[in-house]
Amino acid sequence: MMPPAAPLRLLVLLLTAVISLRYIAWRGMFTLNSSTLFSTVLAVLLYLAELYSVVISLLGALVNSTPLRRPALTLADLSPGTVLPSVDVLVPSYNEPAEMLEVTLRAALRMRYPGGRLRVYLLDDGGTDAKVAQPDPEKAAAALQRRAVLQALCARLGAFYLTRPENSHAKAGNINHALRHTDGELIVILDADHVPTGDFLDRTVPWMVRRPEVFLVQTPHFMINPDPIDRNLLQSFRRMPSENDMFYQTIQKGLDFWASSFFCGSAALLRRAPLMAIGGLAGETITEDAETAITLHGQGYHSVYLDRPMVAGLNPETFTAFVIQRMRWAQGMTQILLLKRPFMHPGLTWYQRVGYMSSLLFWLFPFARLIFIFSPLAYLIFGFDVYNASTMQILAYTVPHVVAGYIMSDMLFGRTRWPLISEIYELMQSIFSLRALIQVVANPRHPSFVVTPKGDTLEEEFISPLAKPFYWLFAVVGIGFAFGIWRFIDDPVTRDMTTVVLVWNTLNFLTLTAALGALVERRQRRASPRMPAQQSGTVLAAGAEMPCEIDDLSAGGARLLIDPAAPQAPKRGEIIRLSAPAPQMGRTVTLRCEVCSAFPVRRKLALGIRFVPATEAEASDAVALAFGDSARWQFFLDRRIRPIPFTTALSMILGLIWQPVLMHSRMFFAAVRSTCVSLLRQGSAHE
Amino acid sequence: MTLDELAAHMRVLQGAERTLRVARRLFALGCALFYSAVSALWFLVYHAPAGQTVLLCLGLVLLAGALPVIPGAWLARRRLWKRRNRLHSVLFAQGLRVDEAGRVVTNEPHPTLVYDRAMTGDRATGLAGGAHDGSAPGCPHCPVAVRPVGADTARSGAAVDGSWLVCRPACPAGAGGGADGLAGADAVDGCRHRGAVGLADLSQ
Repeated sequence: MMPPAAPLRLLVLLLTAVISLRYIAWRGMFTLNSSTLFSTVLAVLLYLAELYSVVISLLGALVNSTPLRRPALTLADLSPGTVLPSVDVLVPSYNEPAEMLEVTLRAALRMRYPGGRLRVYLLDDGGTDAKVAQPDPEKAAAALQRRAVLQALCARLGAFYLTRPENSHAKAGNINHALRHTDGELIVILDADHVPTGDFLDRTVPWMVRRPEVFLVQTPHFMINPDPIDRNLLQSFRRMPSENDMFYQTIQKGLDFWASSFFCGSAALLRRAPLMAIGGLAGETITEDAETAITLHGQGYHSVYLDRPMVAGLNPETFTAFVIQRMRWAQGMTQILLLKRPFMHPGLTWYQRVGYMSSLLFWLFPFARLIFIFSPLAYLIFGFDVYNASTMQILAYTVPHVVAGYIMSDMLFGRTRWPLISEIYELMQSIFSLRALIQVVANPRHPSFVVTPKGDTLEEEFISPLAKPFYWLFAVVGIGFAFGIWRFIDDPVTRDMTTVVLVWNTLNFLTLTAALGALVERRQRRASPRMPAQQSGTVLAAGAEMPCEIDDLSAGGARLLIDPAAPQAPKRGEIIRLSAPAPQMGRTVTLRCEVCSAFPVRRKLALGIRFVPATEAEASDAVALAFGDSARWQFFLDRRIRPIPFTTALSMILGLIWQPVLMHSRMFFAAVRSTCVSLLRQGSAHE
Repeated sequence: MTLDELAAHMRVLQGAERTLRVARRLFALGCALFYSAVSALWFLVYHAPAGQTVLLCLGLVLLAGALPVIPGAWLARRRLWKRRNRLHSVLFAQGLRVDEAGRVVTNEPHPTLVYDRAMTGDRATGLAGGAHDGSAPGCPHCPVAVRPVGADTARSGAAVDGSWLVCRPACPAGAGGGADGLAGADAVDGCRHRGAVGLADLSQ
């Protein structure tokens, strides 16, 4: 099962590790002798940040040295006559709209599995008894209405509606309540926006049947919309690996080799018996998923990670929502580190401890990241000697360490995380996560579960309300340049060191400038994102048939490309029928559609259509066509997961940094203009 | 593009990929040599240690070795990279791609196997325009040695998960797709033909 690791890869990883250890040993022994006490404190802080980075790199190298790729198993691979276990699909929800839940429930009900052995439950935490009886009459009425709407939806689709008396323990409490009212041998947990493909159970259940010791089969969370940093700044969702690809396409496979791939809260199949034996999902921390996995790994159960995207979800739309989500992850993982202590958790093997520590310690990156931003400033502005080394020593120790770090990172994560791009993501999270982490360290039981807002639409561009700290940081780093140039001219003795620190500050400045671009929230009118389809179909309009290409597709509509010379090309407002093969269903589906727009594109006529299903079955077919095919998600992922050289990433960043300056100036002048206009109006009204 | 031409194209492409790998390694080696040489010489200038003559000679030899290698390998790498991309773009324009296992498949979520050198081997040159000889396992019509794709999906990790076989356009069973548009899933027992997309498109 486990493939042998490539010897060359292991050798390179070993060499780079030796170079990094040599560097960190030299730093610790010879470079911490600063001139003043305060300088020494700063030098030690910088050293600790570097030590943290080296430890994380080495843990990462160990964990990801031999990523495990599981073979594809399907129900057909099971021996004939195998009795399949019953499956309960649990969809916990708090405040998500009914339209979003409808898509998820329809897709869950359409998963291929023998009839009668699959049940789908909607776990509504927005319509609990406590919510319905709350003192505010408006909110109580809204909760009651939500309950009624979702009950009707479940009855219409054939799903089961469950709610509970109160909202204790958030998502974990909601699922645990459902576990007491259901009896399926296996449990699928899906977030409200996580739409499964038709083959989800076909590919996951066989692992549970064949290996009774497995408690979890986790699959990737495949996001069908860009995260706010990508959407606002990079705009390369289809061409560049997304932020979570590194975790799901690389790290989880590495963890799986060491038997420590863990539960990620959704898109997973769990075995009921071990879960019930520990009293359901753990609820001590706000990341109940990883916490539960640690407990069950500690009891000797195994987990499996299947690297095939079979659940399509949504990224948060705004930077604020993104920060809320990441703060929750950072806080939850730090809670686990402090409360569960995987490094001494009973029952875990040494390699599982290493795997968990690698995943948990990663979330402390805000400390290191901000130290790396402020250290060059301490030297450039205040003249503190935080890094005592000559140019010769930097060439002999630091440069090889930096190159080795790049080689190691490129070898392990090059396909899923592009150089410099990850710096932007980490920097943007650092400022807010740092405060959240300090709160957790001060009081590990303090944080509470906050639901990530999803499925929003943004009517107009605006600057994120979280932008202010970045402006301050931008100004301070800019001031650092001015001081650096002055220091370079004024003090020839330290010119070498000043040059090195200026280069360091330049990298920080580039990252910060790019980060500013991600703070301008771009417009987004479509709540349900469209994904490229690359599929052929047939349009039936006015009694005529014409071939078409389906360019993109969502559960609500599609864009079709037809021959502009077609004699009976549909017009806007016309009702047509789209016939297209749905490979996962093994048949062709026909959907009733309304043409919303028609315009020429790429020598074709593009038709923007909206599905207007006449029956429930047709509505489910639309969902199955849009979300049912995991091969489409795999194809999409394969197109964008690729490495790029450092120079390309650098030129990408250099090309991007002008945008933020232009966008912020444009929005600043627009704000000034509107203020002036309103003042003038007020003045004329007074007159 | 006929199957003969495709086979020739793939030979050139594989050659370019191999040479590109060599050029990359040569460039990395050159850079490493250059860095070692400069570091050694710099060290000499600052510290003048014992045995400096040996170190000086070593540094100079390394430098002399690295200097011609770096620009040469860089240029070769650049040219080969462009050539490789051009060769891939020819396939891409035909709606094809090379998967992780080195097979030519259609560029779709549910790809069709078009050419696999490992299976056809040297016989590839005799395929285009050849008569049906019934030598292919499972398909009485096709001279191309074909088999269902997907048996080694787990090994290759490619997105190939269908089980299509490829027929030449002349293959009577492979002339069209199935009634449901799923590429002739039931055209002939033991053989799933997809002639409509296969080589017919290559000739455009």
